[in-house]
Amino acid sequence: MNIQEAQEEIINEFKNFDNWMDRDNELIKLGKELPPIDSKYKTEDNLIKACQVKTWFHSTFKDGKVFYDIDSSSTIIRGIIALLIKVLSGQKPADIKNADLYFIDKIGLREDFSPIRANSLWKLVNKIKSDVAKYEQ
Amino acid sequence: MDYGTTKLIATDGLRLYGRAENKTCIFSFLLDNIHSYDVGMFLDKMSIAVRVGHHCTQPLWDHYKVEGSVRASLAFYNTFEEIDYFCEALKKIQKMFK
Repeated sequence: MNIQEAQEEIINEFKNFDNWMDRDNELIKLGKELPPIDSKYKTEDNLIKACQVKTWFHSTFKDGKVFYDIDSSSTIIRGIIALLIKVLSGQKPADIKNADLYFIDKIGLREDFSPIRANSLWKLVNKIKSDVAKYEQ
Repeated sequence: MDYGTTKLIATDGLRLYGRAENKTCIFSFLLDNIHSYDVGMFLDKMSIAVRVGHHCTQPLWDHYKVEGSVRASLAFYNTFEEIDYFCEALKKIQKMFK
């Protein structure tokens, strides 16, 4: 599945939620289902800087594709991580870097989040995008 | 403050931090294992304003080995009904995370 297909799948799924509580219940469900990362990746170095909630980030590169181990102490942020992993994990560095993550607006995450929460979301997206530089040839 | 304390300590899964006799009317707490930012986000959506996180007292939260708390501050204009609404909102949030 490419980045666009994964985003369309998420948008279609979230279309069924017509109020914030149903939408956020889904985020909580996704957050609970996201497997925790190996504790060896939960280091100070892997914490995303200036993120209000503790969020650990680690990536690996295999066969020209980037894979993510991301975790957070917040269930809502874990739900968002699950969505970002679905869209971006296993994709090529250039595709990740150039991805237009329009699903974030389409499912109403940006408009519904407080500035602090939105900041955490964009810190995470920026970290994913800037991280791929080390894998680009 | 007595009314709020009684109501809050009766809420299953709520840990209230700070029970000093002469404290001001603030309630610092954690709800189940839900992150304080998650609780704050949902209270905000239910029109309840609280502060979340470290409240600039990181060493204190390091001591308790938690990432921070939710903090509700009440003033002379808050009513008993608002405290009831606040406690009901907390129960709704708990239900969402169950």
